[in-house]
Amino acid sequence: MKKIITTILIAVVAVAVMPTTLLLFVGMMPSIAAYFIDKTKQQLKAMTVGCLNFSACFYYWLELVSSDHSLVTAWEIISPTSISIMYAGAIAGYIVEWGVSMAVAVVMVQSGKSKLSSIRKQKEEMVERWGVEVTGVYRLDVNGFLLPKKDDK
Amino acid sequence: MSEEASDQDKNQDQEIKEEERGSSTSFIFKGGVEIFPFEQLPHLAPASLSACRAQGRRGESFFAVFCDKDLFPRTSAAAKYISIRSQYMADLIASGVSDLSKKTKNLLPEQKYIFVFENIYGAPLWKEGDSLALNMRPELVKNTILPSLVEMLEDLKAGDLLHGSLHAGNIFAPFGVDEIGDGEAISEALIGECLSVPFSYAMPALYLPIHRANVSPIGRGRGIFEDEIYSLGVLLSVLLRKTDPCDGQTEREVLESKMTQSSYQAVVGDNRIDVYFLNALRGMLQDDPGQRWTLEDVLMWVDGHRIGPKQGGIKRLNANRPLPFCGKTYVRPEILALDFENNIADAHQLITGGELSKWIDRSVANPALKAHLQIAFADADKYGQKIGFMERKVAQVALMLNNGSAVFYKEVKFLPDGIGLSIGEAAAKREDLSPYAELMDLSLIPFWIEHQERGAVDEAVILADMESCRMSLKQQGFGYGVERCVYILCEEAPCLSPAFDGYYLKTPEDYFLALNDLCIDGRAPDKIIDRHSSSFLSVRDSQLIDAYLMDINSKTEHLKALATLRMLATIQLRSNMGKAVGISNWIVDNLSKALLSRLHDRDLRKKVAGQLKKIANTGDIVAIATLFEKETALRQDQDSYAFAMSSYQSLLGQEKILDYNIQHNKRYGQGAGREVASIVSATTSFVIVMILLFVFFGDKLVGG
Repeated sequence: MKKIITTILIAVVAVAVMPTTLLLFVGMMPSIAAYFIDKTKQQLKAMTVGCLNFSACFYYWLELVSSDHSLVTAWEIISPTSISIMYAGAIAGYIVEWGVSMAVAVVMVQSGKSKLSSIRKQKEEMVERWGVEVTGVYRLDVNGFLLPKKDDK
Repeated sequence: MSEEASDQDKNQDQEIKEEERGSSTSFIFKGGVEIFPFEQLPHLAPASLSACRAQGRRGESFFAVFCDKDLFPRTSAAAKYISIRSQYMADLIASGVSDLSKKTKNLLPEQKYIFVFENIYGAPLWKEGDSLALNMRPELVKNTILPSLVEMLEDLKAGDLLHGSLHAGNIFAPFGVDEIGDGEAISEALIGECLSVPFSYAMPALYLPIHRANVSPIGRGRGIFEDEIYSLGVLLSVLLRKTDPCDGQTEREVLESKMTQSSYQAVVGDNRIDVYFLNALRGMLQDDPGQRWTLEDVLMWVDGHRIGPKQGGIKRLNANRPLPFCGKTYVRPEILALDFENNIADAHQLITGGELSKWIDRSVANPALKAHLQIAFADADKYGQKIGFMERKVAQVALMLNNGSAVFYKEVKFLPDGIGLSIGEAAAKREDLSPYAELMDLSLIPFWIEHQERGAVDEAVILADMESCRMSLKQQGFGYGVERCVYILCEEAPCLSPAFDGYYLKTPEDYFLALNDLCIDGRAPDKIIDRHSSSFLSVRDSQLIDAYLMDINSKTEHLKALATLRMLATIQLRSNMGKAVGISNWIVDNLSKALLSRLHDRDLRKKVAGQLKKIANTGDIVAIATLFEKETALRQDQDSYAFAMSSYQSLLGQEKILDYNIQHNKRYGQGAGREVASIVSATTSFVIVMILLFVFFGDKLVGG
């Protein structure tokens, strides 16, 4: 119900500001595509692409609202040049999404390797202090001491 | 703490001073008696013991008797002895175990239990080798010796003490009379001490009633007061008679003579005894304790009343046809029974072949004896072919033929109330104790008690002890088994552990001191707790060791070590034993490895090892034990160890996850990367929008 009301409201607003709707629909087509491509719950790709795509469309939208905000003006603004600029913003979003993700992943792997090394060192120190019985892989008595091996007399 | 330390220093100084006192041939005992071990007084030494001169602080004349470990002095009777205070017996001045000072050890290579008595004694009435017919004048005996003996017996009875050494060799002239001659020099008779050996141990068999005489000295039992009257009768006979009717006879022949003729006839024989003594000797030498004169009868007789011997007595059975057995012929069943013990196989053949039954039935013709024999057969057959069945059957039949006689089984023989001292002596001499264990399993003693006619022993006590022993024999660990039976049955037995040869350990405190001495000398045994010492400690003071017995029996070294440490600490703490540097160093040298292995934390081990080294030289075993108390170090170590195990598992989990992500998860970090990218994008976008707004509205403002 909530979705339907929201959809109706958006449709009413979109009709009410039809020139803006037309401009942003055309200009933010890559973000709309990213929204449908990104299957993750957070929709981070759509957000990354959308933010930069929007900032590229923003200048043209300012021009539209500062003039008569008519469909004709909107249609005039939509030109190959303006579309290229608006889509360049979306491309920049894709680049940021790919580049930053890669960089962060590399940093995290390096950090993980360092932590792994630290954990292994801690384990060695614990074995040194508490004996191999602390590892929990040997048969122990009720007090936690190693049970004699079966071949021990 | 400082006061305690100064007290200890004072005590040590005093000990050193006391040790320094006395000459090089003497040592100080119990702080006030100087003992000269090389100045022997053989006439005052019973059995194989030694006695020597001693003196008090003011030069009083004493003598000391050194008791052996295997003869079990009557230490528990000492309090009664002191309370008696008879003018005819020496006062007990001091008693106890010799100390472990260097000087005492030099003079006494083995630790001894020592009794120190006032020396009031002159020459004994009889010496080894003298004739047993002293031919004293009846007036001397009546007016001088008899009143002393009777008064002393009266004092003994009032004090509830049995003397058990009432014989001519233990009756003395007063101090200073070294030659008795015909006895004229005696103004009063003094009776020698009776504490250094068990009841009747040092008594020649002649002075003992029949059943007690037919047993080895150690197995003669605890005695009854009627035996003292019997001994008095024999003693008076020996003093009065001109000839010894038993001269040249062996003990066995004397015994047979008493059984065939009666004790009176065997002891007095053809001697013409003064009429004053005749009836009294008959009354005192009655073989049936129930018919024997009592002390009251003796007192009345001494007071001048005329009392005849009591009627009745033991009915001796005679067969009308002799029975051949092992080359001899027998007409008396009780004498036949005496020879069963040395001819078990032949006796068994005689019993199972039916010859004995026929002989009893046809020649002895006593229905009561026949019925008793049937009981013995039936009871023995209940045990089937169990180990020792043959010996048991023969012993039971012998008990029926000679009621109230000694219990014999394989090579052991004793009266039931003498089993304690008998097993104690066997243990002290390192003899095989298995016959005693088998005997207890076979229930021979309950059989004896059930069928004896005279009721002369404390049956309830013996049966309760037997049951305790049977329970103990079912367990084989330290503190149980036949060794425990030794200490249950023989309350006088010191610790007989081979590890403590040369020491006389009456109490757990003696054990502690001896162990410390051994450790200081570097002679500490590998195992300070063995079967004997654990049984000894458990029976003598169960609170000291019983809580730790399970761990002492454990196969795990650290449990054993911990239990041993705690037991020693308990003795030190409870008995306020003071420093024990020897033991504490021994613990550090021998137990620390096992004890430290009890700690999980290796760092803590190093720390505790350092603390142990420091404490070792203080002799404080309690402090060592505290290091390993469950409530302190061990608990903390255990808790930390549990936390460490949990942390290790947590690290292990983290390691697995990280390792997997790094090795196999290609998308590792990308999720976070996208988040960062979205933030970067949003921020950049915001900045661009702001710039555009600024530029756009700035132009408008400028243009406008």
